[in-house]
Amino acid sequence: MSRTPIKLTLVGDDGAMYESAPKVYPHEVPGRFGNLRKIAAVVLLGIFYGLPWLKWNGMQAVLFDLPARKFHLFGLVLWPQDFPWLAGLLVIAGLSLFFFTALAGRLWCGYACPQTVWTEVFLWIEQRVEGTRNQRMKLDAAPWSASKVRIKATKHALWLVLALWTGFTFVGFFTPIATLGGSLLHGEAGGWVTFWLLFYAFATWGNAGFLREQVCRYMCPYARFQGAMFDRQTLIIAYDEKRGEPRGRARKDGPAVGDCIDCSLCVQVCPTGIDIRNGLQYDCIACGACIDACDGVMDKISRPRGLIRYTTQTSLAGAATRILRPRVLVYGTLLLAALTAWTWSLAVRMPLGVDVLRDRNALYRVASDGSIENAYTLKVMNKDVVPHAYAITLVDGDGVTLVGAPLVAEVEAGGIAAVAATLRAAPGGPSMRNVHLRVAAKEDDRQVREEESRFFSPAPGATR
Amino acid sequence: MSGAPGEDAGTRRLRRVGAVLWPSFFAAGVATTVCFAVLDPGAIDLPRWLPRLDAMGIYTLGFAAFWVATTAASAFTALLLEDRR
Repeated sequence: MSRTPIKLTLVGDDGAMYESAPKVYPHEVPGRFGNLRKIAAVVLLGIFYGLPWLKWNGMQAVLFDLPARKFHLFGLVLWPQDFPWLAGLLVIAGLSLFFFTALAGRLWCGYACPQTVWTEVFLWIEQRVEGTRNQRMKLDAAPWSASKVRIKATKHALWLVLALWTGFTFVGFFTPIATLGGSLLHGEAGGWVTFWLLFYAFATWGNAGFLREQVCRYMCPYARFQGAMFDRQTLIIAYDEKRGEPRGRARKDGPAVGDCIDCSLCVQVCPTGIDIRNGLQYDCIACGACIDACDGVMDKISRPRGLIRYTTQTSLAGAATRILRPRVLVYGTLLLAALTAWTWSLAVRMPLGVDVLRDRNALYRVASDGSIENAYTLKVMNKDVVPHAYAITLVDGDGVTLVGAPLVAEVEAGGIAAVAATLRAAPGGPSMRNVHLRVAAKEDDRQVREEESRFFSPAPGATR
Repeated sequence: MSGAPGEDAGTRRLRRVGAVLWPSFFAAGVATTVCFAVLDPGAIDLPRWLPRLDAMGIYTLGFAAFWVATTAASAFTALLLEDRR
């Protein structure tokens, strides 16, 4: 038995304290799924970069106006009190993720995740500037020269422009983007706004330019728990082992081989640097790049496509795949219920909010004629998109009257009015009474709110 | 937290930093959203030694404070889960 010496490489031979993760240089191949990914990226980025510029009734259509504490969504104005709707939207987003994961696997990761989409764009720029996979590897290995500096500087300049524009757009969702653009051009942008713009630009540049697949492998919680939504009927990308093995190139008189010629193209194109032929791995973001690569090779060697394909574990084992199964039905029902409840509650939402605040300084005061008065401030919030006039009345008198009733509050669309109100009663009543104030829009009788408050009088027999 | 086989020290370190920073960032974002959905920054009485801040400043400061707290908790968890060798 001959002994083959095992070649050892010592970590740190190059002086580094640790060996860093090998950089992944994805190879670019044309194909169906690559096109799909590009379309998804263009559509999603188009929405992201375009949405803040869209106007709706003369207002920015989507604006999470933090300084004014109002969210504008296509004419709908959400206030901090409407927070449950926002939470509901997140619940719906979560359930959609569950539903689509159970049905079609990691569609989100491969096509829609911002991490994937921006990495795709940054990689596209890298490929235009630095060239093909081999050219990029050669460039990185080469010593620093004027041309290497020029190439790298060009790449980073382009990355930086895109990252800064991304940060600008991001901030533009939270502060009116046209004003923001103007103030930036004149160098008058506020410190906080500038900070968030740079912070988000830096995060984009780092995540899409450097961290890339490491985010999916080490930082993403979804990558960890998506397995819980999977079953054997979930759509995955898999290598057909029965058809491909034993892999190798067929030779005359040689042993029979499978369809896999071991060209390793599927590994070269993988953005997370895995070998799909090793089976289902949680590092796989299901982008389909290996399918495109393998289909191209199969075409060249005149074999049927689909050695690597979208399939299910059941189907690979030779059984039929069932789409409707308990898991899918449960997630689907929950999603539908959440969507219906959310839409319904938003449709019947009353665009009027009322807060009744008692005067903090005194429980009551005694007027010159001996009657008892309590002072209040009514905050009337018009959450509608048109201005309204509201009539303020007292519902159940119980001996108490609203001075000057009915009071009228005119409130602009999306505005708040503070209305001072005084309630009056004859002396000698109970020391505390519940009163109900009613605010009603004059032209829209569906917009009515009643708020309860207290009316205090001196305790009977008490001396002042 | 022991790494997967074949994982080198650099990757492990990156993974630890990521595992601390990212979930805490996420949790701080949620906490900030919930906090300021209830609290109006205009109605908060800040300590006098703080510089006067506008709404954006208070949001930023609030987020930073939450992130420091969540990062500390995440980092402490990572430390406790560390294998003692």
